[in-house]
Amino acid sequence: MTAQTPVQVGEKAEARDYGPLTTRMFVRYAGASGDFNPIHVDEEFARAVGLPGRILHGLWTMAQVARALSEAAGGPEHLKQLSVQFRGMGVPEQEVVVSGTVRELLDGRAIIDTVAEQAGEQIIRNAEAQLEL
Amino acid sequence: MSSPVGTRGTDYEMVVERGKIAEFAAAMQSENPAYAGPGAIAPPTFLISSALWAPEGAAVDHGFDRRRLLHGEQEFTFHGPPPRAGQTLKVSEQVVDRYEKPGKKGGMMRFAVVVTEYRGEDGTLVAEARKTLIETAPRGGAS
Repeated sequence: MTAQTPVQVGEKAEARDYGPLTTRMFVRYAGASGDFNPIHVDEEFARAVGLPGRILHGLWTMAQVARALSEAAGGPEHLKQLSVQFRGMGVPEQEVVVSGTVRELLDGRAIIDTVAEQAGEQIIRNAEAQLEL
Repeated sequence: MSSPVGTRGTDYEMVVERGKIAEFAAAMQSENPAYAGPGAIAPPTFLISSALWAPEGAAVDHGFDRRRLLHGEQEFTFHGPPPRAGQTLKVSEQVVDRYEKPGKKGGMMRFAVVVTEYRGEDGTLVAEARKTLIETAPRGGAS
């Protein structure tokens, strides 16, 4: 799905795998984004509030979705809109698999349905992206 | 106090910095050259870091119990080219919707939708972020 190849409805982009994350990597994301919520960075705190352990920043996972779409579209400047629903909990120890399908072509844009999964569970669902062709 | 629909936070400035873009790109493990150098553009979810620029009181108050708070949905829309290193954006957020739904185990779930606008120095709308926050129903079903 590059600018050189005509994009077709129903076309699937090759799924992309990201992660798993080391402590250093997600602490780095906390600093970059400004989201220091202890459920993402403090194992003890996360367990104390009933979580299985530290959980992924939803916005980190969304960044991976944006990254996959940017790569498929030939550059981040082609991504005009991205909306996602966060579901369940992502964990840093597992890979995130991002996949997408072209749903329709509209006014020079491709509308892409996207999901992000970990071990077969959707952690981002009903994501929709608009890519400028 | 939770902010009612229509409440607008205080405007503030966000400078799109080259170093911050490089830091953000590294944090998302991207080696895309578009995020490097003097003409670096901001990665699509970079605008979330505007929170780091917000002075005290600039944010609207969702009023939800933090122990039951979930980030349900997030959207970014770009109305023109993506923000670039060196650009100064004027940021303001507004509560645009609030609603409730019955929880699966009883009680009410509350929702708040907050839109953040990013405008260029000439007032042009560069990008918008829309987030839906959810307060899950209290345990025991009592609302």
